Amino acid sequence: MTSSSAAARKNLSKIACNRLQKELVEWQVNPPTGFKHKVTDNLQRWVIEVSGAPGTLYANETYQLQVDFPENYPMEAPQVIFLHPAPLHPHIYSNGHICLDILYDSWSPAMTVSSICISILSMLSSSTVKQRPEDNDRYVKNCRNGRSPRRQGGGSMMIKYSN
Amino acid sequence: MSNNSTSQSKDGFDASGFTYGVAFILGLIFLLATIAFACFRIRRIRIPNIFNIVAGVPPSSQSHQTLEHHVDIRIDTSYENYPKMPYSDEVKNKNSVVGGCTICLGDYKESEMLRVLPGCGHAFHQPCVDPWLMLHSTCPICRKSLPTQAP
Repeated sequence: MTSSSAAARKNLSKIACNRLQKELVEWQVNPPTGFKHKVTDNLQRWVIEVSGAPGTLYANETYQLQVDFPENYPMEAPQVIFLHPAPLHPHIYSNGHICLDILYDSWSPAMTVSSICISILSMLSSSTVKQRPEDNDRYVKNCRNGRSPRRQGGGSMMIKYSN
Repeated sequence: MSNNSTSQSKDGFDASGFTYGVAFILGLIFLLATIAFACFRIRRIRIPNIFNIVAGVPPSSQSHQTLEHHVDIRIDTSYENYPKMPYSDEVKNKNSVVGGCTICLGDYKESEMLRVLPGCGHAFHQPCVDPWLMLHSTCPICRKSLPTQAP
């Protein structure tokens, strides 16, 4: 697991660094509602605190999102997972992996960390039941290497939030 | 016969033990050499071109090189024919060019080359959007499908 995650984490390109610095500045000026990002030296990994929206199943609950940026961001989507404990949701596995199409096939370079956060909060808020995906146990068991749902073939229940 | 064997076991014990020992060691060396050779062959199969590694070519680009024949349908160069124009006061007034480039999040500066996508008219810095269009035929902003080369 450590070797595969280390191999996946190549240094950010210059384009990716410039873009992330701009996103960071924009985030500090105008953070999305319900999210807090504690700025660190590590531009490649952001840990963001999510607060459940009031009036939803996740009100008064906070969770942590970990966002890892690939070398050639924004041409490729960042890897976004919930840190333990992940919210109980039909599209969030107990290991924190999120089934959301914009994180995989529907990614576009015009999206930002902010827009991803808003999509994730919207996914949480629209949930009517607090439960794990049906195939959670099988998925998590087959997923020891910490890879994304797309590579694991878990896209069958992928939720569509792209416009 | 029995006489012969007893005499050998008496004074030829060392010699036959020595022979067995030599045969055993030779066998062992042969076995180790075979294993080492097999390991070497397997490693060479896994790492197809050691010169790429020496030259610092990343494995991903190696696989692209080998896959290129199969995936060249996806790499479409029709985006090269999409309109492009330098940023100027005249371009500034177009609605689609308001703001900046949504890929690098930078503002447009005078004389920077923009790529305007056909259909939706969304504009980006040319060097920002071209790498995307090389592999995708959708607008990054509105996801509208873009014209591609006829197969």
